[in-house]
Amino acid sequence: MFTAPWVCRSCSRLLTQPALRAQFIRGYSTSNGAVSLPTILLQRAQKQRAEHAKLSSTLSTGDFDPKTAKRAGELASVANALKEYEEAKASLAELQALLESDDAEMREMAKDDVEPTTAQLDAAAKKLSIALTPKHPFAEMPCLIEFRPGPGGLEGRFFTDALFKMYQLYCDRKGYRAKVVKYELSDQAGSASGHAGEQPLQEAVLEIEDAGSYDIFRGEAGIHRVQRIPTTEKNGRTHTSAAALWVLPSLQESAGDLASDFNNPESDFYVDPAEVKIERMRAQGAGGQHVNKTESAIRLTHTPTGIAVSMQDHRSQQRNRDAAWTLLRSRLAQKRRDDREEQARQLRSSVLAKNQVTRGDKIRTYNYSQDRCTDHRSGLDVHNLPDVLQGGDGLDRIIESVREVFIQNDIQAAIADEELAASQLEKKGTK
Amino acid sequence: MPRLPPSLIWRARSISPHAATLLPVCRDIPSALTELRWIREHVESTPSPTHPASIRLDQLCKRRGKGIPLQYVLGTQPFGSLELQCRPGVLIPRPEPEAYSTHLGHLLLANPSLIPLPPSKTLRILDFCTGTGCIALLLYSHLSSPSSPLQRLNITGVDISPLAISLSKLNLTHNISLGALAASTQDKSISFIQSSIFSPDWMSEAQDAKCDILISNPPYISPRGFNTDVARSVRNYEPKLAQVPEPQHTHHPYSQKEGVRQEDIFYARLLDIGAVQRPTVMLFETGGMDQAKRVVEMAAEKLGVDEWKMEIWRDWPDGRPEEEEETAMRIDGLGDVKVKGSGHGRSVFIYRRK
Repeated sequence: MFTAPWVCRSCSRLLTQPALRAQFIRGYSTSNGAVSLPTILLQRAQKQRAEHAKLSSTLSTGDFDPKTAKRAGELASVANALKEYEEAKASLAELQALLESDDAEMREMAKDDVEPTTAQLDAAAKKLSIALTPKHPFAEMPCLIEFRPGPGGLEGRFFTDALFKMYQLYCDRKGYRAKVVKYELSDQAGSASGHAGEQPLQEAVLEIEDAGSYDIFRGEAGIHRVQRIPTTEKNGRTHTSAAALWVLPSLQESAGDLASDFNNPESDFYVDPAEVKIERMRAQGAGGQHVNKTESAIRLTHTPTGIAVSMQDHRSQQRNRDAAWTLLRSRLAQKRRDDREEQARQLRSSVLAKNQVTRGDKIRTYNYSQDRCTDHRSGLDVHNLPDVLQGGDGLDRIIESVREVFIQNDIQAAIADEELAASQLEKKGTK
Repeated sequence: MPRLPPSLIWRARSISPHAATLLPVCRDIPSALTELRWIREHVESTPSPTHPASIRLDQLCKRRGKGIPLQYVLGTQPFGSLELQCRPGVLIPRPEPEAYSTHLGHLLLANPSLIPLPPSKTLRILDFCTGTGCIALLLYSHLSSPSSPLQRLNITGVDISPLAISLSKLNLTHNISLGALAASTQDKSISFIQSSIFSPDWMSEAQDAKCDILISNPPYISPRGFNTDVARSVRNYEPKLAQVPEPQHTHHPYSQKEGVRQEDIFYARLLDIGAVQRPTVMLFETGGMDQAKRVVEMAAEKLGVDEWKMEIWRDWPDGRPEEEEETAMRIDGLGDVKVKGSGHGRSVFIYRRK
């Protein structure tokens, strides 16, 4: 009857009672009636179009400045989307006028056209609101995904390894270039082994080298919770443990962008070498020709923030050092960005704060006995856990749903920012 | 070496039997697992049509477990941006030469004024006791890069061992084929020749044979130190020729010279060559702070302090000194000598004052 092998009783009851279905099932796409685009967003779009027009006129008179050109390029999409939106709106208004005409034939024709035009307007509004949403500054970058088991022993470590393999397989399937930067096992395992060859993972870092992968995976950051019966459990009890994922922007050296130049103190990726403590494996005794240590571990500590990175994956010390610096830069950049976002959030109305998920919240649950994977932000349930863990279509659906939620949140945040700016302007005016 | 507790061996065996094989040489489980992973990666990256991977893994782990250096087992060692082949009979490149060669390379690129050279003249570098060719090759990779302001460059690696010379030549072609090095051109070239440092050729005053940079990682361990300080795997498997200067190998008059210890013989010879060839920069690896101080004193005596300046570089010349590590050292009759970086006293850097 169902594709899923197991459905809980309350769900199956809901599914068999069609009248109740619409009422209780939560849609993961929380489309908020795009036709009624908030006026505040429209005003913003108009403002940006005016700016675009001004910029392009300066550009066409021959005053070429790469900064202006870049800004104009960013605004062009807004201007285009707004044009499309206004056209769609105008044609809808025209149709509305025709509907009221006396000619029956005309009315009939207009009636047929209303639906596609409304759909067009809908699409244009959506496009406009996406164009208006400020792009995440790291969106174009490749990313690093860091995996770490939560507290709670071996079971969490095994599950972290399952997650690591899940993302590796997912990247394989989607054709992303994924590179293992760090894969460190814990030696506490003893003879225990996890489900399906899982290793006790201590810490791992996966680099996805495709540009724009940060935008794809940024929704994956947070606490992933697992509910299953561990292989080490003798009494068949289900345990709950967790793994933490961080998604960090990765800096590619070829990117000549000013903001991503890590030698520039203004950049998020800038790290003052004087603030970093470097520790290397020290040879005992005299060193030099006297010994031949294969140990190539290196540990960097950023003293102001206390962020520490250690790396020992490669035999080459230089490779380890480069990898450690990259990771340190990415972590610092993410932290700086998070701090800024936190500040911005506090300025906004508290309504939005509820929607924002911080690092400490669990974002997803993998329940083995119910064969279910639930994302807590989009509310999407996927009832084929093995497929999800193999990085299959199920995971695709989850990632897609989270991205949708993120876009909605970003739009709302943009509206809130606009309202905030307007109210501040008003306050100034009344004073 | 203290005995390994049986519980540790059992724990290693429960993770993997290979880890237990590697344990006697690695001494702890994390490093045994790390080496096991490297061996496994090596086996996976070099598939053999005749031998199954599991048997090769087995064999390599057994050889490593006996104490044979990992670099001889796997046949390679990363060195800076290069990958060097390693063969028994030639000393394995250490991380310290990697650190000071890189530091010297950056120093030369950042301060071209260190070596005042008309652009048409060739910068000549001599690397004595080159072994795998590591220092010469790494300097070549830094100085021949397109961003380097140097127009003309000639590096020569010298070693007495024919094994070392054939290996260093192999390393040059190997790294060119990997794309880590640019092939020699007329303007920028590197070569290796077999010769003894005690050969009278090096004392010739002919202008075209003179070098601008003299660099060496000579044998510097005393016979007593070889028995007490050197790690067992190094003593058993790496060539003694590259570590202990032995009079019968070299039959030179320095061994009879007053006041020169046996472990310092090569420095006396290098400084003699330096006095004749008059390079602008010299860099010699040393076996610790005491030896570094002795070399500084010898250099001051031989070359004079009016024209030359000396520095001591620690293991990691670009590192930040620890709290207990001094940044200057008082040497009798010389005053304060700058000490750079952190770690043991690893090399002596001598350069001509402007």
